[in-house]
Amino acid sequence: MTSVSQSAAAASVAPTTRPVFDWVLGLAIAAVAAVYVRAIYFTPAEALQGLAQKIYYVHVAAAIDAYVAVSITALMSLVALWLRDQRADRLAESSAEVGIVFLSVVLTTGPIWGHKIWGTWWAWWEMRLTLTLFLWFVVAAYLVLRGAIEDDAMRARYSAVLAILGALLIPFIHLSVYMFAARLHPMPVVLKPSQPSLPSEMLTTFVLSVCAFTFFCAALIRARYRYGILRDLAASLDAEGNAA
Amino acid sequence: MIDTSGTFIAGYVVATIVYAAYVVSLWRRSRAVARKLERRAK
Repeated sequence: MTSVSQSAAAASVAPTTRPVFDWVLGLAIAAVAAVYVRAIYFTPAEALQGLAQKIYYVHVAAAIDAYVAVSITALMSLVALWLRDQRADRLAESSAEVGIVFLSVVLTTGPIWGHKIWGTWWAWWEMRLTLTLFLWFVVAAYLVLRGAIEDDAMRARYSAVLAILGALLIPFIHLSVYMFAARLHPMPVVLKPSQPSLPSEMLTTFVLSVCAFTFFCAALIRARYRYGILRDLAASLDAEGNAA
Repeated sequence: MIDTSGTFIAGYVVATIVYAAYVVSLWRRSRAVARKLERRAK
């Protein structure tokens, strides 16, 4: 792993910066790799779908972590609005960027799986698909908005409102299979009020995959947050240089 | 059981590419900022 802030540490800015890439992200990548090995080699294939069902372990874990990341963005946006705390705003931004990565995995692995099992890449009337795409657009708009506003306070305020409104889509996405009769997604097999209906080996792999990808998601948010500190530091030094 | 090995491989490859692309993008941006700070420190 590269310690990108090592050189910066030599400078006077050392106390405020930490390495962006460190052992935590390395461990998270190793955990994801271990889950890949377990899912591919040590978990039985489903009787009807065959090997394609194993996409479940990356697709659903990515969906759960996308919900988590976007929820953190909304929560930190609330904190940033309330306390006008720059750290909360930076964490919201970091979480949104990681969230769009996980949403992109959901929106690419889903159609690949669906094309074989449902016989179609996409169906606009399928509300879980369409609402997930809308959430991707909202998070993309949030990131574009942040890039377009130069004033820190205005950027934090406007983007926070968009993040909070965008996160309201999450419960609709999760509950869409209960709310709409026309659907391709199955009813939940694990995240439901009654007992999970997966065989124990598959359930173990699923739980491990959710844990590993959640750890990976947290490690990415942490790395992105540290990058944000470095970037803001460089920007403030630039501003000081220009003012001098 | 139907043969869906191609779909399975495509799903895992695409997911890995998306994650790897983000990690590389973050690494490149971090390195660029670190170099900028290093230049300022000199």
